[in-house]
Amino acid sequence: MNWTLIVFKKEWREMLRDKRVKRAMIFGPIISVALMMMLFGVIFSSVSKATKSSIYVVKGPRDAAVTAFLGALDKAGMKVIDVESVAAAKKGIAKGDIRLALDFGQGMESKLAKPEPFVLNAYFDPQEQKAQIALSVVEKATDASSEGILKAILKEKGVDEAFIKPLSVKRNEVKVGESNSSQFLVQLLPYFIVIWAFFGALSSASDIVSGEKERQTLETLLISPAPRNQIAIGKLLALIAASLTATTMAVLSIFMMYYLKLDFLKQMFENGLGLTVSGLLVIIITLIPTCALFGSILLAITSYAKNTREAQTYLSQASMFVTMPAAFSQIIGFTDFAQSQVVYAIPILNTANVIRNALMGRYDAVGIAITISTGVLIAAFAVWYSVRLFNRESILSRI
Amino acid sequence: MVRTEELRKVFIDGKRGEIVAVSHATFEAKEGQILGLLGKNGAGKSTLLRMLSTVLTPTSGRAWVNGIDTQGDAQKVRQNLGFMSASTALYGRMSPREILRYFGELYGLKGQQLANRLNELIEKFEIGPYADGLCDKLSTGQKQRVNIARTLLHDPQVLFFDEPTSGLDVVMSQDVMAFVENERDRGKTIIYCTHIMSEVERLCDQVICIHDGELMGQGTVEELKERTGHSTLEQAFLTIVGYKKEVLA
Repeated sequence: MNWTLIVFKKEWREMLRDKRVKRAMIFGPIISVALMMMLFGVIFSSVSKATKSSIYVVKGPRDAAVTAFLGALDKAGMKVIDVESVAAAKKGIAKGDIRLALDFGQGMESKLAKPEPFVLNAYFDPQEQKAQIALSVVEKATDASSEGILKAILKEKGVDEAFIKPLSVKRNEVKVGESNSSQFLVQLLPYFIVIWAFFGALSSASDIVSGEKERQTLETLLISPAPRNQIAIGKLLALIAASLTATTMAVLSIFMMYYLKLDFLKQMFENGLGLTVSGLLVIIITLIPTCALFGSILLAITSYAKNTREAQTYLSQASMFVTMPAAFSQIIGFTDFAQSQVVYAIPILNTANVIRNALMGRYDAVGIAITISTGVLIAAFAVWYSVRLFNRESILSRI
Repeated sequence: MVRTEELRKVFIDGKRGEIVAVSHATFEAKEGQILGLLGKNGAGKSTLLRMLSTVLTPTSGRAWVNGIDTQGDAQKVRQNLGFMSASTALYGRMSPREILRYFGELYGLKGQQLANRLNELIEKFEIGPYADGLCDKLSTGQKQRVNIARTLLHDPQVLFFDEPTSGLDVVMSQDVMAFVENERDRGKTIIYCTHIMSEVERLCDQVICIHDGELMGQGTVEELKERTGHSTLEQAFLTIVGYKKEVLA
């Protein structure tokens, strides 16, 4: 008789009827991922708009050089507004009305004609991020103007224009993977997928064994002819199913946001979603042992705990150990660690790293194999431990 | 029939050391009889029942339930017994019908046989009006009816009751006792744990007094009274377990 299936079906049915579990397993991942993407989308879109913000120029004589420079800023999308004086500009910056003010002073054209260097004063609050963005636009314009002036001087002296930059770098991008995922997705998607694989099953974990101990329904179950290891496996399968459902919901939420084609998310998805079929397959193959690992850890904790309160304490501590490596996956790209094979032997971080690589279209067969093996090994140990706990008398007497 | 030989259970506690929960228990419960286990809270009644139910492993000694060695074929033992306690809750997010179906499947019932048994029990215990509502919404009495039906699903030959009327009102307690008597009359072997004397006097054919894990006295209610020279079972019990005499006076 398949007691495992009977127990699994009962647990799954109960989970789907529990509002808390539904929130954590279905609505939580969908809403949190969507909200996070909206938030980042708004930030990206706002940064992009900042480059087209207003710029204040202190009133004064506008010779041909100043007019040409302001024309270049206008072309870059900046709206030029006059301000009476430097003092008024500073006051506006202090009040937050002005982000960046430029003072051309006098004699820009004559100085450049001599030629003599000309200094353009920019006033801004260094803690204001939008001011930094506007300043970078101004600096680009000054660089372009400087280059034009130098070119004219070199031409007059009969020197090749290309010598304006005697030493330069030519960027030659080598495409490694087949994917075009944006940096945002590469950084955040692995984190969300892994985190929800754990938190999706967390809310049902405390109830599934320690809750049964507390309500004394576990004793009735253990007195039935169902072998304890089959009961444990049935409960484990339910936790794995919850974990897989939650992580699938997180991925679905990303797809949903992509297909909604919201205006402020355009920049995030400018290269498309970046998830290829092979990438998706690798993610699924890696996630199955990871969800099994999470399910078995949760089962071991809930089997060990005396009651739901104790289980919740242990579970919240365990969530820290899951969150940390998952969070590290967001910044691993900035370290040499990302290329190390050791990463693949670190549970959770290895899954996030494989997902990250898959999003970039990189598939390291050895790394994937180590990740899956590590997940399977630790999951097997946790399953063995939780089944052992189930077979011990203390499952009931430790109340 | 249930039989034990020198059954003993010792728990090891980190702080308190060895705790003898049941010491050298030897007794026999016959078919068509109710054996009462009478003792105060913590006397070892539940531990004894848990050993017989194969949930706990005896430290030493042996036991047979319906002729099956509890340590030889535990699964078969569990297949042959029903266990009910008033403190056992039901799954709140399932309906009585679903719970009965779940346990029916665990006990190996399926298809039409399971459907017929469910209908029979739902009708017998008048669960019908609330059979498809969630158990969270049921009253204590309704829950207890479902619990009784769950215990009888596989029609076990041996039934264990661990303080089944605890927390129930008078009417529901009467229903439970009537059900126990009915099962006895059907030839079942019943072990009934309680600390309520009136229940023992009404139900039990044989009584065992248990105190600090020791079986102190065994016989019919009348025999115990006669042996101690008291007119009430309560006084007889207190004498058997060595309670202060001045209190009895």
